[in-house]
Amino acid sequence: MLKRLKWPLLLVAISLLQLLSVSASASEKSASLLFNSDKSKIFSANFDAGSISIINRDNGNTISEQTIGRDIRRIAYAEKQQLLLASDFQNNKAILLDAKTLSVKKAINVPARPFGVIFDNKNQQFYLTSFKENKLLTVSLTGEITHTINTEQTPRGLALTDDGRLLVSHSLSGQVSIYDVNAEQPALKSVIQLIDTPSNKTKSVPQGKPRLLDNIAISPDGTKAWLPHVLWSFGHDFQFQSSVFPTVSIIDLTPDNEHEITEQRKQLFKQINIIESGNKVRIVSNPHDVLFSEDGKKVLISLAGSEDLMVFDLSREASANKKAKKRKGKKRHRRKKFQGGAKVTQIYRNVPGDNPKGLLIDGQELFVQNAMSLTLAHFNTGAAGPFAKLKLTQGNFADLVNHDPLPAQVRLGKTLFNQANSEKNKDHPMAGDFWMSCNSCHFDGFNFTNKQLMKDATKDKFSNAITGHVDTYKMIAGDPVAAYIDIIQKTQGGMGADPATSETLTAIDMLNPPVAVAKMMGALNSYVRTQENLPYLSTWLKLDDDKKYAHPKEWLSSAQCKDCHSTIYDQWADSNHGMNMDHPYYRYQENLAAELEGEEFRVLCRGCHTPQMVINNDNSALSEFGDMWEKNAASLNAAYQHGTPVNERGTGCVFCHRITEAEDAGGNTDLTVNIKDRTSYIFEDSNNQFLQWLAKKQINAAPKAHKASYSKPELYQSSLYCATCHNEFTTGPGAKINDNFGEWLASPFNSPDDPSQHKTCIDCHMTQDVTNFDNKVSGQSTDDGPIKSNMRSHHFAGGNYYFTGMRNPEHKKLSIDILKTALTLSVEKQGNTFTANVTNANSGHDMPGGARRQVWLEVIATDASGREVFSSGVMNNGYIPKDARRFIKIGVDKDDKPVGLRFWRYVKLSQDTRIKSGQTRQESYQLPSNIQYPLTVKTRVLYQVFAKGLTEKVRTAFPKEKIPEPEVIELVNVKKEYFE
Amino acid sequence: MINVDNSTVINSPILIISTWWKQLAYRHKSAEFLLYFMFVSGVLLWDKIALSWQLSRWLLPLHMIIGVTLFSIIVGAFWSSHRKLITKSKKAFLRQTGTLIEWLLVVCTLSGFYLFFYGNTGNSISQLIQDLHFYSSWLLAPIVFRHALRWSILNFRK
Repeated sequence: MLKRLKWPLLLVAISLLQLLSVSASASEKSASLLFNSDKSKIFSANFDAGSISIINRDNGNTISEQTIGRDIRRIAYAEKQQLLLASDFQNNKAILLDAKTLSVKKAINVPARPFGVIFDNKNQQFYLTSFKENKLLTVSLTGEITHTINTEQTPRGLALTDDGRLLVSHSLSGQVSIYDVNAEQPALKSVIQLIDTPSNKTKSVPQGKPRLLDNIAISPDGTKAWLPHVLWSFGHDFQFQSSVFPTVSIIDLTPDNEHEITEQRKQLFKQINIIESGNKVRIVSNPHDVLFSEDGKKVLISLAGSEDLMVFDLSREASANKKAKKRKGKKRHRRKKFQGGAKVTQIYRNVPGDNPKGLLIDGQELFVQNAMSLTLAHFNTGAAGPFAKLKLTQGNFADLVNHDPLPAQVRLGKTLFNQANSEKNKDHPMAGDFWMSCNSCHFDGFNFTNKQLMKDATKDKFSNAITGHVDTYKMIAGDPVAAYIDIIQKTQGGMGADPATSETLTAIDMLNPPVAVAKMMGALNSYVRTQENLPYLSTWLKLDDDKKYAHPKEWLSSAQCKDCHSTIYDQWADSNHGMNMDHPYYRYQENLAAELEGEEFRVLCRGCHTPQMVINNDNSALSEFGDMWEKNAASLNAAYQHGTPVNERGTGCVFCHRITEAEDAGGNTDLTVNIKDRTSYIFEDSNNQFLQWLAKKQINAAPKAHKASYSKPELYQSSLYCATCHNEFTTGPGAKINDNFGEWLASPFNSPDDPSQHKTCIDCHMTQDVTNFDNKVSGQSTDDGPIKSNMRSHHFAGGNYYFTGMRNPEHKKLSIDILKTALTLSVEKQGNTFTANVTNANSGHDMPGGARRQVWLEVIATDASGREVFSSGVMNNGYIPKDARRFIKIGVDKDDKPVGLRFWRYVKLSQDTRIKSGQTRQESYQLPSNIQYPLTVKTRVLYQVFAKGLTEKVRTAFPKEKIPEPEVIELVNVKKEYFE
Repeated sequence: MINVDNSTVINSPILIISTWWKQLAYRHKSAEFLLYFMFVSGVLLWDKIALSWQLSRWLLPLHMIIGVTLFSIIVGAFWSSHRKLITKSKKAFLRQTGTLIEWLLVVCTLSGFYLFFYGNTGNSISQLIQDLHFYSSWLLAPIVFRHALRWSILNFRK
């Protein structure tokens, strides 16, 4: 009898143990949808609605909704204390709430772009990630930040194992960090780098770098973690079916041996056995949230782009593992590479609502949170077992918000931006065959993630410099509707451009779209132009305000600053950053851009040259106010004396000193300026002279607030600050036009570990002694102020001696002095071969650094009789001969023609002979053989700010302007005599 | 006749001023209130208090304007009148504290004027003057309170 009962008893015991281990291994994950303690209610973080809702789990009724911010991405629940912590992504805040009443207990300022948040029941604290600032924070139950830990790049999702390991997904670097959180302060255990799926000749085969990691789900037995993400395959031009691949990576969580189970990576679409009609693999996109069913036998994944739910059956995985082990034991040869077993058994297509993201499960009940329609859908997962199917029970189970704060036009645009569901707008879908949405690459819109996008898409710039969209129509701004259709067709296969649907769909004519499409693109443009994205479209400049534009009166005139900062003001006024950035050369270039691409495209240039005009919505032509000869910003002073507000040309005091953030998106004025929150003293903005006097007295009496408001030293010391304007890329194609920041990063000047060598932009360009960057010169930046040991000069000495020289000889001298320190020259002669060695010894970027600068070698050899026997690079009537050895970068357009002044149309480089920082260029010349020695060779490196050809064009365009010939500067010279 | 004489005496402007001046020496409430107001408003502008900018931007001009106008006139006039009482006082404590207050008032007021018209531009002298203004006020307010304890507007027991 006992023997008969032995096996059943053993099975029951094992089952019980399994059940116990499941319940003991409950884990937490960062989520946007949570149950309350008795699971009768659902907490919902309502994304860009800025609110949190409590929904009745049984009937979907809203119990309460509280608006707490601007963009609530994740919530964590401290059950015992009845507290919620929410991350407000756009507002850079974490908000502590009462979970019952949703009343705000505390709003906590946190590092930029807070995202993942989770509660640690053991340590009674929250963990929070700062996506942009690369931080992991611990937050106490009272809302205090107790620890701030630096992490790998872009930490986003969080999950906590029951044995005290915190998993952090790094969205744009494809990593997973594991922290030991058994103590109060998290300690880094290991970082797992997810593998790149190897490249394949067939571009449509999944390949690329793991990107857009976010949610993490830990299996109920705690042995594995599942991470949905995509692969970015950007080694070629963007094209749907070959650029973005949805993927799920699996991490083995064996303690102290955590690693990616690479052979189990779910390379969608290999593991999707779902075949659609026409024997075609069903395509899905933008995997987002992931959940295990309670029995651990199914994994559910939301597909935010294609708007699907995907079900993996794990019961097959177990059998596959067993089979694999069995095979191994029997030493049978492997027939097929094991791919992890678990495969998709169901794709539920067209989840009701828009943009399904958050998932929440209890038993067989599944709730799906739609981020764009802000609704909740209700599903039944079916019984346990591989053949049970997911079924929709109620499409619109709950409305998450009572009122959507986004205007309908913006909501539609944002929905389209995130949409890859080809079933929607069927005649003109956003994507071909569900492949990708705009958000598949422009992650969270247009922000710092752009830098990673460009980095991953960087190719050999001599064969393809484009990192984004190919051949953008009218550079987007000139005709956004047509440009968006063009982009959607070329990149996403949408708008009828998918060849597979050519029989049923007609490709939309981008220049003559149907009204419905024009409306869609108008809405898309509204979203692209929101404050969080590109409010002025062509430039990445942002105003930190609820409104898009400011009024000139909201700015302080730079002339006003002169009253107390006369030295700095005088330096600035005649500098290249002063009031004269709208000089004729600039106007000529801007007019050309507007003529070729459309008036709106002027904004690209104005973002850096006249940012106040952009922010103040001043589109007037650059014909009045100021000229390049004007000294000490006379017209600005006159306007100030008359109390007339002006849109300053150039980068004025308030603009530069109220930049609160450098976005690090790659350049194009990717900065945020804040003028509304500056500490304005009473009467400071008044036009009345007595009241202004009184305001100045207040500033002088208590200047600390003034100083704090206009000073951000850590930002100024960062080269990234200057890179916002001195790095440029083409809008849409994303080809780097100017990369001074990247050149500096690769230079010996970027040596943070060696302070004696390390120099950022301002250490060379804002120092008073430009001939010796190590010589710190003291001075006063405030009249009668303290003596600063290293006063930052506001001459901004650089390579343009031309304009500053028109106004101020001191500026010209500084500019020429700094130029002359950049290069060194040595020469040698062997036989008839004469070699000049030019070294970029003292410049932290390529030489020349600017786009229009001419640098070339001039060599003149004379024989014993003084007769010239050889020459190279000698100017002819002001023109540099074509065969001169020039240090220059030449970009060409799609037809291989040099782009010249149409630089925004360049697609690749045909030549780049600029000298990199720290490098030496050898230029060899063959001298004639019959020379009467001794031979005298004079070698010079010459520099001219603008070529004569350009000057002639500008003179023709502006005949009334007095435009002098840019003089040629000798940077270095060596004269040497040879006797044989 | 007496009435006429009296009327003549009372209506004499010099006598009126003289009488008002003598009486002013005992009318300390406005002066004392202003001194405390200046002290409190000044302390609230102290960095360590970290008052919100929305409040301190109003408090600063209030402190400054009242300082150069009402405070200077009212406290100045009161103290000029009152100092005779101090010098003639039989109580050593009042004489000593009164003299100390007088010096502190001079230091605090003059440094305040300097800060108003010239400001603290960050150099050593202006920093020193700001310190003088700050520390002298911390001495001045409690000494005034102690000096005027029996009659002080803050003596709530009376």
